[in-house]
Amino acid sequence: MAGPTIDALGQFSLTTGLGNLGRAVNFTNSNEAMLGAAAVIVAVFALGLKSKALVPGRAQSLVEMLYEFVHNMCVDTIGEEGLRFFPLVFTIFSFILLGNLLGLFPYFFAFTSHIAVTLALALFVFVFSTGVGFYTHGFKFLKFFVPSGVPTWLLPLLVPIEIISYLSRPVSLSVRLFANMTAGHVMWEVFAGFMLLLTASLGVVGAFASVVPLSLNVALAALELLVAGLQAYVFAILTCLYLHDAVHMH
Amino acid sequence: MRLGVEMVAAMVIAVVIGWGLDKLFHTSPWLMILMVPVGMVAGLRNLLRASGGKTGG
Repeated sequence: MAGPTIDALGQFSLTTGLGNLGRAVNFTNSNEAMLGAAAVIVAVFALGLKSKALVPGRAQSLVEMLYEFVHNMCVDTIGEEGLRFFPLVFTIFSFILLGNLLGLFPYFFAFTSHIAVTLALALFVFVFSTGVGFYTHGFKFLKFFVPSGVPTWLLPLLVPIEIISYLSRPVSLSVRLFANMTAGHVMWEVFAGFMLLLTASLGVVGAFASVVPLSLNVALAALELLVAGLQAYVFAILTCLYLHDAVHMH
Repeated sequence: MRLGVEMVAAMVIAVVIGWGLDKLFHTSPWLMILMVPVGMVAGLRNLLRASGGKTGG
């Protein structure tokens, strides 16, 4: 069949960024997007905190809202000692949020739609929270895998279950973010492809009919905006939850 | 989406552990088969925990 085809996954392919220099050191468009996300965060904060007004302006109140949102999340989920982990949670939250949001724009690359990126983030959270657990409790942290109040003869069965349940955390954490972002972008691409296919096969009638996929894409844009924020929130709150388990062991 | 991932993740980890142990001890495929029900239970436990159910541990 001639004419346009739907290439839903082509948007996720890695190319090199930053011209010849990037090609020499394998600097990809994904890395470019990450740097972009980090730059936007730093720029927004520098801009918002420039005035330090008592009554905040728009930029300052945006920054303060973001700060207080993560601050409350830390205190509510981990407890008062959770403030030690505030910088980590805030960094993860803002990085993923900006990555998701920047990925929604045309010609931008959504780096959170690659399992390599999300798995690296999730493994870092996993190793870090396990380390915190051993640091706070020493080897008593291993008791985390022994549920309290069960008969001893059940323990050989329950301990492997607990360990597998614990080990599955980074997998579910990374797959959730990756799958949500990938699914959204694929859906966009497919509906946009429908417009081309309709126009190519039905001519003028098809061009008018492609209003339907177009309006669907507009609705999807709103949904994707929600998903982008929600998944960053879910990742951050699960990080808090795992740190809570590491600090309190229950 | 959220809860489905929890179950699949536990299953995948269990099977991978079983498969690795099989490679180690040359007992293919018995440990992997043994780990499948364990993974299922761990997935259900994840599910209960994620949906906010009270689970003693």
